Amino acid sequence: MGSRMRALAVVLMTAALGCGDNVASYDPWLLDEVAPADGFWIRTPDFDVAAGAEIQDCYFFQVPDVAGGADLWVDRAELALNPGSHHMNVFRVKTIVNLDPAAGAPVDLGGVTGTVIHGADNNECWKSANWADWPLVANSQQSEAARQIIDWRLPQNVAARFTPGETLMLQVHYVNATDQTTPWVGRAGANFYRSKDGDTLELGTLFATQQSIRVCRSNPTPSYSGACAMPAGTHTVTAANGHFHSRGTEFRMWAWDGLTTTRPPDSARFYDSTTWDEPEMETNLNLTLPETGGVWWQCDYQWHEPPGGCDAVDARDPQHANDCCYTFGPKVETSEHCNVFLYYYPRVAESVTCF
Amino acid sequence: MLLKSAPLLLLVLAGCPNPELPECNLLSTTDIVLVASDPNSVISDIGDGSQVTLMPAPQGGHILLVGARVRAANDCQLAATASLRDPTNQRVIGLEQRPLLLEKRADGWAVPQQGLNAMPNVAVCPNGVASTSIDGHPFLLEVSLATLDGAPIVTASAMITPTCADTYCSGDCAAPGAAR
Repeated sequence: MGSRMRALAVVLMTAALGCGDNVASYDPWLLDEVAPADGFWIRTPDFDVAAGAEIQDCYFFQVPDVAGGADLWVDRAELALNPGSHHMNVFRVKTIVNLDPAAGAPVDLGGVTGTVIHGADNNECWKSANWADWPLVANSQQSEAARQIIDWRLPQNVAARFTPGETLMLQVHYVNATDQTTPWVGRAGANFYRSKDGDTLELGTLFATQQSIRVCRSNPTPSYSGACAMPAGTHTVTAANGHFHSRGTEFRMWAWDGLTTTRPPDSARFYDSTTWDEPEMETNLNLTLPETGGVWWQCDYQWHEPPGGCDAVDARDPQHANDCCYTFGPKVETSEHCNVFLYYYPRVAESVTCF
Repeated sequence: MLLKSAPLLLLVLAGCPNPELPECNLLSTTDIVLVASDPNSVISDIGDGSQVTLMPAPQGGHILLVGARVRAANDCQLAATASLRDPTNQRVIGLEQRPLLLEKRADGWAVPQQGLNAMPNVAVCPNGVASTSIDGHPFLLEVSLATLDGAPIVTASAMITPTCADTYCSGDCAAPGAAR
């Protein structure tokens, strides 16, 4: 069944459910299917997110050969999520540690086929050490009902490059609990459009994270900052977004000179988000970083009591401090993150990582 | 009577939330000693010429877990910024700022608590900007302490040598562009 048919079916089903019982109507995102001449596309199946559940699934697929064996340059991506998503991230698969695409179950992803490893069945889909050296391709945290699609067009002469046959992972995280809710079903999709105007500057990506964070009842307002240096050269930031969970109050990024060990001035700040669940993906930034510099970021937090009490939070505290400490981890309800997703050009390394 | 009440007292104490850790009231702003933790949570003083063990981080990569001890009146916290600078090109190759959580000892020094979260995790491997491999080469470590509002208090530095304990670390900490 094509994605439009699937979406139509869901609309009809929801409309039927809605007869006389006040169920809000479901207005799903729709993306056109992409002809091979224009790129490639993927759609996850619809999946239920039970009340109280957090779901993270890892979908693997290979970049199709749609350019006669040549590398594929992509200068536009559409990233779509049903409401309730915490994130979708696309990575290039590199070193296989304990998350092996070959161990997944076959899955029809619309424009491609692939495999899926469900985090509910295999905890490795939750463990970030498994994709520590997998370069970031794209990400979205935007799933509000009125803004389910990011239409991301790269600057003139800039494109992301893919090799036919290279394996990508689409990781999708949904929550239907107290911090976030999934009103209908989980679903993600992406369209990658070929560049047709001879773009020559390759998009690069930077992923940075603050590990070992700890937001506790006894220390309720900590801040964590880091700095990530870029290889020497002139780099222009085109897009960025930050990522943390519901204790996060403000996520900021600054251009950094790579030499100073104090926070850059406010005039150098290029990203500021106070929205933890639907943080803005800033695009078209056109920010040139200092020649030997990079980025500085800061996450501010405010501890609050978990709605269901501290037991689950305390249970995953490696220090067993019984202080209701949210520590580093992927679960929205019980842990915290401080991650930077940044896109720049021209690419200088397969991946710039700071963690 | 007192003994009979002990279980109740314990119960009450166990139910109390941990008190908020106050900002340090330093007894001296010149007494500062750099420290580093090893993977076994043993915290040692470091200075010029020290070898500091690189530790694996939860999400991958290797870090230096470094901070400082100071003279303070109580268990307390400060804001700490730790950085590692390449002496060849002066670039900062890793930097982190976080609360430095200190516990007062009987000798009057307040020492970082054990654990990854109590002092800066300076992420240095892998690294795209160092002029050489991180493992076994000297770099300048700098630790600055500030109030929780960010007012600078004191800074200390030392030329240290980050050191790997295994071959996986050595590969992760190879010079930029080197085969891994």
